[in-house]
Amino acid sequence: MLSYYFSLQYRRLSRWLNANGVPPFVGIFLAGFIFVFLSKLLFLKLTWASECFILIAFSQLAKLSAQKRNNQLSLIFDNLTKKKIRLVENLLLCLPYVIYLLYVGEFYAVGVLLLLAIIFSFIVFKTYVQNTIPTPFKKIPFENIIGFRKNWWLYLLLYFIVFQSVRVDNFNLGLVALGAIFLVQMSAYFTQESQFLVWIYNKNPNQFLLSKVKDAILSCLILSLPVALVLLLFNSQHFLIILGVLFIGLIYSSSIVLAKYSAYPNEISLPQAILYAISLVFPPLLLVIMCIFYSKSKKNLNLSL
Amino acid sequence: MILSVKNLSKKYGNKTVLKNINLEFEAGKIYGIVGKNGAGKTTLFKSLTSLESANGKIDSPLGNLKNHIGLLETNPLFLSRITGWEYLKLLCVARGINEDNFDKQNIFDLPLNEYVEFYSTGMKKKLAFMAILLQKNDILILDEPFNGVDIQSNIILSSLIEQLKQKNKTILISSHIFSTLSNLCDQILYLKNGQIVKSVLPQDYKTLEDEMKTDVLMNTSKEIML
Repeated sequence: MLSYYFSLQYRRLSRWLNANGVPPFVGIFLAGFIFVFLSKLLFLKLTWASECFILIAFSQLAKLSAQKRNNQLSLIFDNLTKKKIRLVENLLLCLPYVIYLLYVGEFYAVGVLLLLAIIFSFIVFKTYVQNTIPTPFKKIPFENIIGFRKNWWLYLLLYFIVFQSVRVDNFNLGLVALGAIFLVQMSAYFTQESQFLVWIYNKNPNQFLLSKVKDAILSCLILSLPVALVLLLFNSQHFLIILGVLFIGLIYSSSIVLAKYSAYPNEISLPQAILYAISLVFPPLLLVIMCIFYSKSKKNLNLSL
Repeated sequence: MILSVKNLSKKYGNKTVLKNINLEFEAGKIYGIVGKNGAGKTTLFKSLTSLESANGKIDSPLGNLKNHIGLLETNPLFLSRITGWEYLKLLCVARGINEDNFDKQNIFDLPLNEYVEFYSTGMKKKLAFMAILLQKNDILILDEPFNGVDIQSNIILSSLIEQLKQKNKTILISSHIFSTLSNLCDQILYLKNGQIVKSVLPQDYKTLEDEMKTDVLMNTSKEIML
């Protein structure tokens, strides 16, 4: 039963990769390559990289412990099989981290990670409470409302980092936090949209895209402007840098809207995400990509508007 | 005539789902669509709303038809972490309607400040119905509106549909509950294998119901070994 369950998961992954135009073996190889590259970078730049590794693995383990999927597993499998599945999937998830930590000789972190994997296989997380989390986006539903409710704790953390950056007079830290706010806000646009939710609009594709871009910019400003102002107040000599980051952030925030609808009605595909990620590293490419995404978005939206 | 459909056909690959549908709908009337699962009811509705592309011609004096149609899907899709209030606001914003006072119009007493994902199936349907009422559409397409909704709300739904008819709205309803349709509709269309095989007026509803029953029983040749 276990082998069938995991072969089914592998088939799902293969189908997802195939649907995104990536042969499964290439996708898995690429994922491995990116993982090793990012890990090397992390361990090169940070002294607390192994703690960071544990934190990333922790957040992923927490997702596997979500109540909804655990209830689903309980409905299908008996208790013992379910526990075995949970343990194996937790260990599989931790495997890349464990291998890398062994490679860099962080045996203490390996122990912590394996212990977490075992403990989490017995835990079910209620992912979020039923109480409605208020958002500053009441008048502009809906991506940013969802994004804010998913990531409110991250925003809190980033605002705290900004506060710390002012306290210890570390301008770069504050700037990184400002950039991170943009990234978190942009992640709201990775939600797949049903055709119905586009169809309801009394707008043509151009008007629709414009209104969505406006909403994205407004939401981005609501979240980032207080931080930018605080940084300006305490680092007025760097005002050009702060305004530059704010401007670039707003451009990226607009471009993610185009990226989303260039894939509509599907989720942003892997090649699109890679293309977009490259433009994050090499911003001039964004101009070309935005034109491509805009023309694709218009074409896709014509189907529903 | 508020809506006319000529030679509407739809294929999924080699499979024909709708075959040369010709229909005319008038304002201030309620139309029922019946047919077994897979007969093409939902595809017909999606084609009328242009959510699915199809061959044929759909005409209406209303202009851009989709801005005048309210669609209630069989299983309305809601995103997580969205409250009932926010869903209603989204559907109003989408149509350029500036409306905020949803509590006053909350005919089903829904908990609008709670996340929709915690609503029951019936509550979700009522919320979706309330949203298309707020949009003030001229044509309402209701795909299985009575499914999963409690008896009390079914009565309210039926009464609202009657009121919409009085306001000269055109309503298309699909349902498996023949009695509800026969009480409400001015005309019932029988969809079978993607074709409208019968269009029936109230005096012939009983005959149609009997015919459908016979049709189903005659064609049930397989059974599950219990």
